[in-house]
Amino acid sequence: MSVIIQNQDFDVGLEYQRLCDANPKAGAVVFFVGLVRDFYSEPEQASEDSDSSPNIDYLELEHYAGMTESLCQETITQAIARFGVADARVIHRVGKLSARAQIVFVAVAGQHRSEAFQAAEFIMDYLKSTATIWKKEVGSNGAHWLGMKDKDAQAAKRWKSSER
Amino acid sequence: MITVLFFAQLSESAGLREVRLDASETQMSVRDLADKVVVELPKQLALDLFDGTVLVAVNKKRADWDTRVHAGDEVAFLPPVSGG
Repeated sequence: MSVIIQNQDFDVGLEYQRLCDANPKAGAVVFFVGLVRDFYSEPEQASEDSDSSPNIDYLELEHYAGMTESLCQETITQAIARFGVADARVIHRVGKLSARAQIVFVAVAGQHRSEAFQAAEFIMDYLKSTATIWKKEVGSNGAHWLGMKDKDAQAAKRWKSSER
Repeated sequence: MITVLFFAQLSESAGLREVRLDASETQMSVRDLADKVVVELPKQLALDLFDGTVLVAVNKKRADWDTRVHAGDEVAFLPPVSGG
């Protein structure tokens, strides 16, 4: 079980190997990698000025050191208890990230795939809606901070209604 | 002293990330602290800080605007998050 917030990139193969080595009895490993999209602009901004494509040069991410780690740790602990999986880890990058860069990694090891998939999705949904991390789009037209999207808030909420 | 932290949009509106405030008053809530802190900072901060979307943390734990704060506390104002 680990949470790492760092600027440097991560190696999915290496992380997979580490998780397998730490959980020799696991029958299922699920992982998710989030990438920086080619452009991120909010729909209303794109339509305001339809002939200019959003010029995003890079993302700048900041976080609340100490709080982010404990929130992610809490989320992992909940996921392990709720879905009965063996282990989970999160790596989230911060700082300057360009298009197509890896941004977040969530991995879950468990006995069976169904619980592992669910736990990974639960962790991502909670991470997106609670972790103290903020993204700023920086491009030739300026820079702006992104807020939580409604669909992310909804995604986290559904875990509250579906008791298992 | 109380340490006040601003993140993301709020740090840009404030023009700084961190400010220290005298905590001699007893019985101060996060809201009272925010009212004090905006006085000396750019007007945009007050607009953003009180827009109804900002969450707060005291000593790196989620708190609310009525939570009491004391000398030595670290109070953070958190705009809507966008990680992942």
